Amino acid sequence: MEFHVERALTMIIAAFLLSMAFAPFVINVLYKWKIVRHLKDDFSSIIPGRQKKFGKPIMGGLIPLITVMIFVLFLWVYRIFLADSGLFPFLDSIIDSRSLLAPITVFLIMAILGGIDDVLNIFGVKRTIRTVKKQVKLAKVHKSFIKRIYYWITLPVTAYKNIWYALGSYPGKGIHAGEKIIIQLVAAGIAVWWIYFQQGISSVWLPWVGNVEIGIFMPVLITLAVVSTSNAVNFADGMDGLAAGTMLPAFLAFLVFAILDGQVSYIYVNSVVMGAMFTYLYFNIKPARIELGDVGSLSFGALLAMVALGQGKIMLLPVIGLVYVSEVASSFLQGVVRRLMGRRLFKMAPLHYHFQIIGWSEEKIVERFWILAIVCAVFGMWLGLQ
Amino acid sequence: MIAMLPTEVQNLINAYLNLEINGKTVRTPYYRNVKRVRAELRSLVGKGTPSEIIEETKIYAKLRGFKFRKASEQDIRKFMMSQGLGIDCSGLVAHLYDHWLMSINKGTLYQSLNFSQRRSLYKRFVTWLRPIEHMGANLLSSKQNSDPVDLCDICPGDMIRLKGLRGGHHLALVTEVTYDDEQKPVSFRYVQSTPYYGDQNGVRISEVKVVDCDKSLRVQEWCDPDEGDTCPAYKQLLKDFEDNGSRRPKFLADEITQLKSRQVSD
Repeated sequence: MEFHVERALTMIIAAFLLSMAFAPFVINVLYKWKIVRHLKDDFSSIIPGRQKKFGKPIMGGLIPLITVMIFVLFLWVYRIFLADSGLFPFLDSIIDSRSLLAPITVFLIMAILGGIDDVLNIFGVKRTIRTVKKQVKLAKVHKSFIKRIYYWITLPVTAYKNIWYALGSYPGKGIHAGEKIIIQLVAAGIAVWWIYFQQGISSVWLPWVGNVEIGIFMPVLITLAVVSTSNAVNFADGMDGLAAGTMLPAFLAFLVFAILDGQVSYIYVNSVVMGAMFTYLYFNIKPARIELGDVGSLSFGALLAMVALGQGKIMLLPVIGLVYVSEVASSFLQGVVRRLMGRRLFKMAPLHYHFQIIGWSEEKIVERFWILAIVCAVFGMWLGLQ
Repeated sequence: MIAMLPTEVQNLINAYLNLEINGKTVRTPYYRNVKRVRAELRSLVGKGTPSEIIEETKIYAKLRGFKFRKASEQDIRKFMMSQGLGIDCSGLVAHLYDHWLMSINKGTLYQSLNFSQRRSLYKRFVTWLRPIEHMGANLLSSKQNSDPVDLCDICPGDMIRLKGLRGGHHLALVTEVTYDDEQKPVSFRYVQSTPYYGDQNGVRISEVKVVDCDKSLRVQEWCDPDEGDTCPAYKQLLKDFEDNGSRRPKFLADEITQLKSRQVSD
């Protein structure tokens, strides 16, 4: 175990140093290409204090993302060409580096999704949603036969988009919530294929109970974990240092599990993520130089879920990631209560905005969430040892 | 001698008349959900309680960067109107009745009202979830839920049904009745949320001097004129007059009758 601890620390430092080396370059590129938050068409601009964030690069998640990809690619190349060479004994001990294939694939899909969304939000054109009623009318009266067929065929798609619009998802310029969910489900499908079909895992580990067989519900759980964690981290990315600062304890908890269980691949990944996230957080604490963006929040959220799934500790994720659970739950409940009963449950959702509206400073909110994240991680680790 | 609404209901009326927002006192403006927005906060569709309206005003002020410190009451009201924060006539009356019923442990207004039996299951469910939003002036003053009452028998708690100049009905609630020695009303006051009076729209208390209670409301003296010489409520009364007048809610008939016996000296 000492070997694993030492290697984990080494990887954290290595990832931190590497990411620190190219982070300024990435930040300059983002500024140069004007990939910055704009005031126009950004609904969050109405919140006081948000105005100061305009003009800040929003794809800062590229820094930890590139770091992780460099290390993972290095691992794969090393395993292919220099396996057992003795050059890096730690990497030699990662016998099954292909175990990271599915997590990294899901990670990349989410990163691409988030990246496209970020870019479209800046450079794209505002999208509108046609109502179902209007589309039916067009399908009946359009002079072009092909267009009429097209409108009939795409009617379910329009209805689907309108459902999301009714739930409070505004089109804007980026990818619609309904479209995002579909791509996230595709990514989750890969996770399901890898865990349920490829490895045949259909049980979950519970503290004090051990492995519990859940059979056909495993794909449902996997899908829920990947999609919800990805979106939860996205929701939490609303203040300087919030998402990254709360991700660090979560990945640390899974790193500890990996060390205790001797899961060398996950020691590698979790350590690299932590090192890279330290660099990102260095530039993200208030006043932030960069923001995570969807490219970072969606991808690392999904990676967190994949790590939890891969390490067989998925049932501890809601405890370790309680901050994210509360963010998602607050948004969901707010929407439901508002739409159904016409009242506010919170002053504003997600939860961190509620505290901001009631008068807490941004620093206070972020630091308290950090503390809660650490406590939840500690509690999760304690549960993991039962 | 004066008969008044119960203290709890008067307190609620005062709360609508005097919204306390960041140290300023503001009268609730009028807002009607003409665009028929659905699935929205009730304070944004003209059906909120005073506390909900205050809370929403503060949130929107924070979001829009509106500063209360240097704003006058009129500035705050203008801001509220621009954000769709206010209350409509039926929302005000519904909340007053609802509060009255709950203060005497007679359940809620939703439980007391007689809704149309022809409603679908979906409509019933939605009404159960959002009752106040589905209690319009027509329902509250309908034959199923209220009875006409002579002007000589008018009491606090009775409704005055008027015609909306843009369609539908308008409701006002009698808050206070002054009687002479023969127990005949000499004047009464009513509260309403009115779209008239320009910038001074919203919740206000007006008065009617009863010239002859044996005659109809049409010939009484309606005070509180708008920019012209006429009281807007009086104009609404005259429109389709046969359909208008004073009505007593069935669900509070006994309590309203008892108020007359609890008169206080003026």
